Amino acid sequence: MGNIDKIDVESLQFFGKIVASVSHEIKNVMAIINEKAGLLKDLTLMAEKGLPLDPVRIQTVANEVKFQIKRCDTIVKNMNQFAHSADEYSQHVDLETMTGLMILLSERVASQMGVTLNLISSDKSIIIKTNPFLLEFLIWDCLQFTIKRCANTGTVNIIIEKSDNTVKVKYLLEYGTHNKAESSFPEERTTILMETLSAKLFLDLENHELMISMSENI
Amino acid sequence: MNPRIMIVDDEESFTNSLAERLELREFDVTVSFSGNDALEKIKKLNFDVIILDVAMPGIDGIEALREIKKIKPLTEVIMLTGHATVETAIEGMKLGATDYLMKPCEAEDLMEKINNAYNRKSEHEERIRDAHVKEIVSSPMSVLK
Repeated sequence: MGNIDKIDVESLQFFGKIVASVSHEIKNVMAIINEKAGLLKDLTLMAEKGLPLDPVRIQTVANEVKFQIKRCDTIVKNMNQFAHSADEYSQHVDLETMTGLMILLSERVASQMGVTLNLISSDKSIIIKTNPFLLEFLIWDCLQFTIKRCANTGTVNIIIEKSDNTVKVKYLLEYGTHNKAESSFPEERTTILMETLSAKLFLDLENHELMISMSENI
Repeated sequence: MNPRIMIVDDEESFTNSLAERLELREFDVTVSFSGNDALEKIKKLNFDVIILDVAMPGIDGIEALREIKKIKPLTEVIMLTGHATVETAIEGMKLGATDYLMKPCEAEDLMEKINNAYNRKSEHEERIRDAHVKEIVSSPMSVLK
């Protein structure tokens, strides 16, 4: 299998992982709404048997349902934004918005591994011309490495910077004892992504830092 | 005595609603929002049935199940999974979980599984008591051991 075939397969796997994660989130929201509906039904049945119905309680349940609907709307919106990143091979994108999206899509995994992800926002938007889907893949790949590295109460701070025609995505890791399992990073897939995007990767484990550097136009 | 249930799930809104519905049905319910917290509670309290979510931050449901079975092996565990696959639930059943349910689930299905689990535990405990009684009857000196 040539390089491009490997990336094709792994890109689809990446897409599948994101969709599976989003579907899990949506199921969680549906489970909550299902319980709220069941609770309303139970309270109604009890009212039919003569127990007083508390309007404040009903209002609280209704508000909780509304909150979950909003939550689900955000989840679907993020998935939609991600899905549309594959529309065009080359597009202008806001790098901070893109990074923020990949952080949101990685939060479930990060939370399960006890890791906090923080995007440190800059004052201005940094617009670059790139392949959105492949860059999201690279940002996500680096996020997975940093999450595993910081597993169990670590934090990953992500900063976007621009100087001249170069943009950087910096991952600053904070952890106690690191997980050594991912010290083989970057793997072949990450290297192919960097080549395709004309990006460079700098890994400084001693200073707990990982950085993607690339031109603002590819 | 009302069946003693613990619900372990990191989604607080889900857990609290389910707890309220079980309490309306006169179950004695405790909630826990993490595997570690659940294990601390299990060490101090006795539960008949634990409803255990599979995917949680920190220790996940499978790891929590392993520890529960070490601490209180007779406690029945029902796995609750939001995954689209039953593989994780099957892994749980190999490790000693009684049953599993996919989220979202119908309350009637959950009640039936809870009652079945509770009855199974009660029967198991009765068999253990019977075995103790038989041992005492056959060898009265055994009470001194």
